Amino acid sequence: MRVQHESDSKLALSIVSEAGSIATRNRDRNVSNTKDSYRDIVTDVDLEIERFIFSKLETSHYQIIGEESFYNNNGKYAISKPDEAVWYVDPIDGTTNFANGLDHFAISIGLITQNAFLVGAINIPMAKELYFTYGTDRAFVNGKKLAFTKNNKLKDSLVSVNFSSKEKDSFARENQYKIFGKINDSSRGCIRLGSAAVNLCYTASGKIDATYGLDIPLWDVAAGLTIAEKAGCKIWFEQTSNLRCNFIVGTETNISELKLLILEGK
Amino acid sequence: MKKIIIIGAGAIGRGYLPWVFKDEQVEFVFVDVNEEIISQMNKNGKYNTYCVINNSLEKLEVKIDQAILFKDFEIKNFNDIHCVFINVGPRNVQKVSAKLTGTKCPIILCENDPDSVNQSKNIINSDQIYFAVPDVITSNTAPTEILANDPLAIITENGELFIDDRASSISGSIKFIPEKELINVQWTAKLYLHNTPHCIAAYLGALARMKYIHEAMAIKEIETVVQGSMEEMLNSLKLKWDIPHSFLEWYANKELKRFSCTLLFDPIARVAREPLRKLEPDGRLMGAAQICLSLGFIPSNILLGIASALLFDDPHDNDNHLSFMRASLSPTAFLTHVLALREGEALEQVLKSQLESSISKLNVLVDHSQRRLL
Repeated sequence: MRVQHESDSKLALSIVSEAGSIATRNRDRNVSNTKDSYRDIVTDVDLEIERFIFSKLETSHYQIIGEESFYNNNGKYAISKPDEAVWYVDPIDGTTNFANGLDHFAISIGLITQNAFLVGAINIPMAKELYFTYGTDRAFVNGKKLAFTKNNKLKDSLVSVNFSSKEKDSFARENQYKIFGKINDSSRGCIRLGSAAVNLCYTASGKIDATYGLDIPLWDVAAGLTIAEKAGCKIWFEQTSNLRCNFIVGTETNISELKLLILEGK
Repeated sequence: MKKIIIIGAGAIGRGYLPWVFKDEQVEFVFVDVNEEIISQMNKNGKYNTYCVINNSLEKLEVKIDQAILFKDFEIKNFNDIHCVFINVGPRNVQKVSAKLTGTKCPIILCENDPDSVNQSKNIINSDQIYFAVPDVITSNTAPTEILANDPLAIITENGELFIDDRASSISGSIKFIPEKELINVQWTAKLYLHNTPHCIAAYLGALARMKYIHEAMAIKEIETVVQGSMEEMLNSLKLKWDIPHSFLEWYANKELKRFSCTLLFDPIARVAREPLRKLEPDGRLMGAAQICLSLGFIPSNILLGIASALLFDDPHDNDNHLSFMRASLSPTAFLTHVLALREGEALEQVLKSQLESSISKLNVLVDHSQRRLL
């Protein structure tokens, strides 16, 4: 019985698992640089893990876009067709958490096209949790099947927010905070964990009832959205540019309510 | 007439429970997710269950009052329910319990997990939920010649049903015992002297490409490992919980005879299903190994059982991602993340050092048995 993208899933899972060990062995490394803004940092562990991931993904015939190599390459990449599958790699999603000794960070590898979520693998090393997809409709954490069956309304939901780390456009930033405030007041609370990959995994596993992000890089969310979809979460997704997106993941009900608040705020 | 709702029309629900009530005037309502079973039940209005008594099969015709698909089942549509039995597998208990909120009658859980009672109590918000230990092996099928006339037929042993004595308002052929004895003696014996060797027989039988448990037990090499695992657990239970040797020995001998019963037609696929559940930390394989290690010895037969469970590879099983995970992860990552062992703990160290040699032994075992069968 053939499982779709089985070899890609196996590759992604084995890589994030090994990369997790690199991260946990090197928790005392220092910040090496900043990127778009003083708030957007990268450590040499990020770079080491991305080099490791790229070396392992070389065997795959898909293009690879990694967070750190994107910045090092001055943003040059090429995606020729909407149905072209691309690996999106975030060597450490939640680098600030990692650098500060907090546990909410993850290694994330996702294979997606512009129209479909194919494969996702995420390692949250400090929680000892490996999230992965297997086939077209199954996602697991450490071998336990994820089955998102919630139906909460927004007022009964715990929501997590993913803020873009881009410094530019203070107007857009103001809007994001206004939206956050409205959602916080309309729900059981809106939390910020500092890692989109962790937010998406926790939503897929039902620990969080919904998560959303505006203008978020695809490498932050490709794997997590894939996992959430195959776990049975409802997803609203729109690509805002070649490498960024807006998304909401949750129940049918709370997604509609969140969408209204977000569109009102824009 | 007493109305009994049986949720889970499989081996225990359809095969065994009707025997418990064979001398009572009851109406059976069956609930299941399997559309084919429910459709057949509604079409035929009855079916037969067969019990192995004195080396022959005795037949019991079961009249079906109603058969309902789980998605269509609403407890509020029923009045004057004598009791509800849940036998759906531990992974499905929460989903079933969600449909039983407001139920006032006793609910009996025949599940391989005493914790399922508390889970259900929280969801259903009732105290009338009780654990039961069906000390019986029931197949979920029957020989072809019987199935040809009755596709719903099932074969069961002549077992015993132990239920928490707070549920003694339920009438039937039931042994009501205090909860403490139920958990500490009957459940412990069932878990480690039945479930442990039973699943080892199944996994070894799967490797040898056998279809039924009794076929696996007919292979000398497999019988030896199963007996060895039984011995390891018997000694462990005696030392750990001071359970009388006479009871344990009687129980162990009873089990070995049952596994070899040629009338039962117990499919290996049924006993071996969901290997990740069988490999849970406190369960029949890992929990058994942990007990032995805590008492100071390495259970070589149970280790072979664990290895054989890890090799179980049925593409139709819910846990068919097991071999995928073994292939994708390093041994340490697999043991710590999938089997939830702590890095450096005794069982993790033993498995890491002995798993490959156990797998080699299994290959030799299967190879020898295949040659003799040829």
